Amino acid sequence: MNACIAPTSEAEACALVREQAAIGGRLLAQGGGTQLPDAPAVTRISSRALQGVVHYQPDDFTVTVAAGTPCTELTDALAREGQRLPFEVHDHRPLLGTQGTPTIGAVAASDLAGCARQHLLGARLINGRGDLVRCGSRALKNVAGLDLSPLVVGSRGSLGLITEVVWRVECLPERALTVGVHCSIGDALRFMARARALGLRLRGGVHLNAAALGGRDLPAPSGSAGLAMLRFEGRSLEALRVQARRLSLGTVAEWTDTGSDRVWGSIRAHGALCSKDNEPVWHIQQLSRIPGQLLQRLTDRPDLRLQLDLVGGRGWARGALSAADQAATRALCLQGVSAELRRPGLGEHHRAIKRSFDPAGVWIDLMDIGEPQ
Amino acid sequence: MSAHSLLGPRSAAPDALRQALLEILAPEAVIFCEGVPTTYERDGLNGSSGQPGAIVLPSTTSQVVRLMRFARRSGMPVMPRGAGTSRCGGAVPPAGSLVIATTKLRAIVDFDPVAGRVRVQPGVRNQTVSEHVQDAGWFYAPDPSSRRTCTLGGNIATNASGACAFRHGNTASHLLGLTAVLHDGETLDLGCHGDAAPDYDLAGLLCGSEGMLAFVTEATVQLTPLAQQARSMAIGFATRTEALACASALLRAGLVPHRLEFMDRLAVMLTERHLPSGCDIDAEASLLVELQGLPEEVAEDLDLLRSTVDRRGARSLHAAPSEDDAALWRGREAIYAAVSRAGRFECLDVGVPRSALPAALEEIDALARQHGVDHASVVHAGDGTLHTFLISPQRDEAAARRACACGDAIRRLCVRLGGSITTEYGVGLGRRDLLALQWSAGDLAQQRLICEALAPGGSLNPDKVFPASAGAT
Repeated sequence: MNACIAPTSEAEACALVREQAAIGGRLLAQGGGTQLPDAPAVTRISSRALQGVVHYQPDDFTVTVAAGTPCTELTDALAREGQRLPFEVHDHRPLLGTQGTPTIGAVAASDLAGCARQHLLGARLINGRGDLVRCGSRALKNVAGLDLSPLVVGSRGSLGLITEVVWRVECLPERALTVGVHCSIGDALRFMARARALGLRLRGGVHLNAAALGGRDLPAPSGSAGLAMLRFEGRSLEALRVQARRLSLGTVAEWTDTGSDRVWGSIRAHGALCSKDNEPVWHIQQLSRIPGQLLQRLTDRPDLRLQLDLVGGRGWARGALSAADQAATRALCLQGVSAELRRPGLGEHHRAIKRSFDPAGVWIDLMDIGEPQ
Repeated sequence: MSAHSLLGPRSAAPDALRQALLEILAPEAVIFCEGVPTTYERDGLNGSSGQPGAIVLPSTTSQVVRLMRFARRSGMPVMPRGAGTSRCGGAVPPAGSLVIATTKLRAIVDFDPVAGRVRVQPGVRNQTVSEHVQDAGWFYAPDPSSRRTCTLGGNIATNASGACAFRHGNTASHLLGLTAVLHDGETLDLGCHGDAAPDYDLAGLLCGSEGMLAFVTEATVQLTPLAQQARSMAIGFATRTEALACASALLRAGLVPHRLEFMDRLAVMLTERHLPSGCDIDAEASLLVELQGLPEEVAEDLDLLRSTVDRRGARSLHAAPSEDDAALWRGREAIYAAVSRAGRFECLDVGVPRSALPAALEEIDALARQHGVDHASVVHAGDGTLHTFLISPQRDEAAARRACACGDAIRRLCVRLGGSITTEYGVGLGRRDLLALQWSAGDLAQQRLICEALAPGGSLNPDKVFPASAGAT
């Protein structure tokens, strides 16, 4: 069967999974399908019909939401109360050339948003037995029992279909200031270290290399330098400029409020990496693991476009990566190269955890699509 | 909750056990419980103790590996132990267990003053981390009230946090990497300690697992820069509702204070009697607020605080002296000592969603009246944690039992309001019979399967956390 089923209730989803488990079937969990350029030859079960805010009291600084809720619907609901999620919600569709609607459950499952992991408080998912399992809590603090929500983040559907997520929320800022600085990636990382040492609470920091800047409506770099953009938020622009001056940045551009929002909208949509060609797209999960010299070499390449998330510690690349560079950066390929290079297999303990949720191996890991099952 | 004793027969250690442990460790690192009770038999949970088979004090990861392998071969359950500051029996040893204490695992292995990271062994005290890094302009933010004595290992076991959690987060949000030894002696290097592919977050799973999954031998944590400026205020209100509404107004306006504490009238009276700090003893409720940050941030925050408090009609406002901002907090930080002067007490660490705090306090009043106990509450007003002290006269066992029963009723209340039976101390021994209030049988079964996946046979800190009736599927 090569269909996409969208159950309208958790009970219906549980029954479907039990059915598949009984016949040795396999399922791919998905949200809005935005990470899949083509319909894979497996049965998919989507959370997209499980929508809506389940519980939200702004004074709680948490929100419980059904996993299939479109991200924009959630962010709009929070914004009406002067709140937002504490991390940037990316839209990968322009980058991956996919259709569908980004859903909030997939943000947890994919762990592609830099800081999202630390803000997931709880979740519900349907495991490989067709049982509904709750993880974490709806409250800001909870240490009762074993918290399984760290396993859910980034599980890519391998443990089950996420049906509900609980996120921490924060207040929307009154003012925003984004400053742009021409600099190398090394200098950008030094600015971030300095900001951290001063206690500056940056909402966003990104470095685009020269290759990513070509033809964009952003300040043109001199030589091979890239552009770092840092986002300050608070109650007054005056105070934000004081904070920016503490970093001695050598600012070449400045955007405020709605202008700042537009810049970050483009960053969230990976505007600098989008193109009509079929070059591979990579996600770098841990910038901190990459040696400085390698990072500099990669950013200097004129044929590799890089967008590095300096706050979330992640990166996005578009272009060819050698096997050696892929291994050194532990980059995950989201589109475009052969399966052998995609990622290493699960270790023994990871397999044991997977079996505890899914003994019959019903749930397929999204990253295994295209690999022999 | 009734007292729960795990006393086992007290006997001389078998020669084989003695010989085997002395092959791994020097004699001064091995303690056998013969005749004289030791500190290691109990923790902060009143009325509970256990008789371990032996207590060992390794000082290296390789010694821990050998001890875990020995315990597995000989069938001895293992209990990791930090400073024993647990208030819920998490460090009460199971009968006949091998207690592996972190007393000698107290090295600060590495400190990066530029990145603000420190790598430590698990026996390092929470406050020691801050003391070690403060000259370089950093501190370690997770701030349980026992931070002068509790250890990083214990903090990781319980995912510890304190009053600063709303701004700074908990232990998990500061954990960058772990080295941990499994039941069979296998060593895992996780997070920044290892090269493993980032599939499932095992480090995140271990944090808060109460010693049931592995023995942590090293951890790397992220530090927080010391603030350039700090300003504190004590604000008195005529009602608890007004105080909590003001707290919500401040947070909804975007204030992210370093600490925001609510104290009811009895809590203020007890702390001011013990250590006068400047709080209003005639207010029905008080907020203590600490603002920290860069001077321009603190200036803006102060303006917001003052304007909000003015609009909310506070009855008193007292600023800490600029030369001693910590003065205002001394009473609050000594609350345990202050309450102990009023009698014996049980301190809860329950939590509710912030919007349920007014209802929770009202219902706690009713439950306390119903059970005939006095009570005082302090609340981490940012995250909804309630530290309610249920007070009974010394040597009045009937009153103590009523206080215990009241505590259980309050925990049930908090779950009903959408919260948790424990937000800081953990489940341990003392709360495990209440865990089913918060989790279904299926949820607990999945949690137990994870434990079985990493620690087959339940040999690490057994008989803790899960109710005795929650079997694995």
